[in-house]
Amino acid sequence: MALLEVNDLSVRYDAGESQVHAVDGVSFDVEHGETFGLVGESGCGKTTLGKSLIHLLDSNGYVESGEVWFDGTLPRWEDERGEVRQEVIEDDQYPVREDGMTDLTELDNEDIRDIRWRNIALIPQSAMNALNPVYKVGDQIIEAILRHEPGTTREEADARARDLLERVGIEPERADDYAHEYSGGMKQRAVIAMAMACNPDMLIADEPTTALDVIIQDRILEEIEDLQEEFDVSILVISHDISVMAEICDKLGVMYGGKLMESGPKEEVLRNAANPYTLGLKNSFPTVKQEQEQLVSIPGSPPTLLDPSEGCRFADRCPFVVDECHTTHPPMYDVDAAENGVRTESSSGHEHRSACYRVDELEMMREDATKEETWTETQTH
Amino acid sequence: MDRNADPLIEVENVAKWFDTTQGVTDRLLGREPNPVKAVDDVSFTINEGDIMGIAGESGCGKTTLGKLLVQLHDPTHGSIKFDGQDITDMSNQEEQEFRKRVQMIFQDPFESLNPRMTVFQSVVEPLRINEMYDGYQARRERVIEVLNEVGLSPAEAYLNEFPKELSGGERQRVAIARALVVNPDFIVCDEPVSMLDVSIRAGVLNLMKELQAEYGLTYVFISHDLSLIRYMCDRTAIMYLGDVIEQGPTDDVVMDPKHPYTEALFDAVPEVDPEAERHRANVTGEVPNPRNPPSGCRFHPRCSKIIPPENWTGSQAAFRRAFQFKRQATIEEIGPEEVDADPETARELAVDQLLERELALELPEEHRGENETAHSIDVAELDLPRDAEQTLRDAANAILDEDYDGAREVLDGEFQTICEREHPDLRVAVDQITACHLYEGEERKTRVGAPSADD
Repeated sequence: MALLEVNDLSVRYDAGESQVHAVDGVSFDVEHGETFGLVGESGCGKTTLGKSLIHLLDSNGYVESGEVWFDGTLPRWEDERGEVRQEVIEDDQYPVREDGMTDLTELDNEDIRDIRWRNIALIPQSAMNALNPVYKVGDQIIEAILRHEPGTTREEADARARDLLERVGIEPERADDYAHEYSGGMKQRAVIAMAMACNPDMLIADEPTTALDVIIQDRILEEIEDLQEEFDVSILVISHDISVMAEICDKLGVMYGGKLMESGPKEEVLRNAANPYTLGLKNSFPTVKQEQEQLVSIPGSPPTLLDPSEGCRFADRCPFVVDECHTTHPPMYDVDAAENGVRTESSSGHEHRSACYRVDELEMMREDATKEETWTETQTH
Repeated sequence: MDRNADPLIEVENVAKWFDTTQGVTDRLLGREPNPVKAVDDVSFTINEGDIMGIAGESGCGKTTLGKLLVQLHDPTHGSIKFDGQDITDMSNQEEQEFRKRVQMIFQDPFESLNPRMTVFQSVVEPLRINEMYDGYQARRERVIEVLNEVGLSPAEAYLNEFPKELSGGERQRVAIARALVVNPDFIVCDEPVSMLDVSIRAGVLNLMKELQAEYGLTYVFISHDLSLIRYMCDRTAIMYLGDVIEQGPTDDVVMDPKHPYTEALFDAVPEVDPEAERHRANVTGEVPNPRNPPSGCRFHPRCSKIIPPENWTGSQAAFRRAFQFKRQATIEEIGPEEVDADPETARELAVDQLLERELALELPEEHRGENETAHSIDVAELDLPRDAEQTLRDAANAILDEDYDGAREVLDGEFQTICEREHPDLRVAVDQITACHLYEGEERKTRVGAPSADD
């Protein structure tokens, strides 16, 4: 059973007359102990998606439709063994499925607080500014523990906070320091420690290393990998940096214009990309140590998500566009079947999937995508 | 790249210090100014038609260096020659001529364009200021020509747009057009694509390369992103805390780095290819405060290859750890609270524990020794000379009594290294030049003052 099942999730922002379709019909699964990466350019909806899972959207944002099934539930719906009580499952007024998974979108603002931190913790974007400057770092961790685990005494929480800091490579005595006494890397570590405070099943890490220098980034990435091994926590990483993703993720989802364009095991998505957008992205990404190839950019610029057109979001910039692309946005197709020239819709969130009508012509697309003229000829201006 | 090209920029022992003045209170209290040496004694040359990359972590002084090159900062000392002329000492007229030939592209196209000026007004402004081209019509034609060249075509459609109506990529193209419109010889690009999305970035980079070939431009390309440096630059200089610690042809610097810092820096870059072989950076700690940089080689407290003295009989790994112990003890970073054993009743055990703990380095797993974790090491496994171990034990004893002066006294004069004592000059190491004592004597032809780009 998956830990998190996102099912046809759509998130909108109200912008007066019209709506911003920030996330549109996205489905994917995250397994226990797995690292799932959401990668995409700025404004593609990846952060919105992450925040919407635990109701942290800005006030004008709301979940339009879809479900977020999570393997875990509210403390008051559990029995002594931590399982969901049978009557909760059977009663229709509770958003709990037969297999004990809870639909997080149905919880109200009070209830979601019991899920946050205890079950799903967030490492926010710009963690550098995520610490409160007027409280000691240790006290901030203690506060989280006390709020989410009411049975704990202050002494226990204090000991745990120090343990956590030590675990992420900060000396325990530094718990008594303020955030401004920490370096950038240490702040990031402290925020990670804080997220781990209540031993969550899942971490949402939004651009966990973006503001850091490369050597510190290297350390933090190792730290995240170690934590995952030790606590068997699932991580949803959100980043624009494909190379960071390639390093820490097991599975990848590529987002564009609020849609999931391609997803699957990391090796599959990176090595056997099956979507024109992923292919284009790969062309435009420089590497340090590999053979240097001419970079090719994708022509045009990302779409506006204010009442977007019906067709494929990438159609305007895509060199492989056909008439069908302008009808509706393509569903996710099974890439394995497409390798053999068969186009069938994918039924599982685990396999390699791609949202492209021409997925059955993969060989041609992969070949042409490596040629520079393919991308320059569609240049719109 | 033309190896015999003439040098266009010659930088010699240039330094830029900030906060060099005293305020009234400082003077009354007798406080000496303690300047931040953002750039300290940097020398290099840039040949005509080259793209010179300057890379390093934030705060290493790369932007300051870039601004020095276009005379947006005055150097504290040293000289910068542009085309043979010293730009630190120019008459007004010379400076005007210089400004025409030298331009800068800034990091953030969302900030560097005046929101109240149209594209045309922004791009034509340098022409007006420099009194180039006669009359509105001629200038307008020049602006259109340049806009077309930077890929904003048809240019007429862009002339009357305001920056807010343009995308990030388009804005950066306007910034490039504004730099190019005066037909310069030399452009300093400070993180020109770091604010742009990946899919847009490649286009701007390629444009910059094309324009370079077409106009015969010379670039300085400043970036923290090493993969961009690799893609763009013929030659690269790596900076650390105000020093250029290595420079040479980009391929050599990346694939065969000589300075331990360069090596760590490139090891730390993640690879897109999931099957690529990856090493983690072999360094300890973080970049120290530039106001109070370490003595000698500024990288020595973090360095994996710190050089033991000649009479050291143990291993380098043991020396590195002993040296770290000494450093931590000197700055009172270690204390009795780090051992479980009670120093009063179980002294031996406490000393053992302190050494076990403090001789361990916080390193990525692949660089650790056997039986070493981030917080403990088997001291017996370390190849530590007996007298060195005794010194460490004596120091540990003092530390357990919180007698740091005593510990300093014990450690004083021990674990000496040239890296701490002497600041290394740039010296030749195969294809590049690097500032590291490791390459002492190997090929020390000359003290490299202003190394020529052909080294």
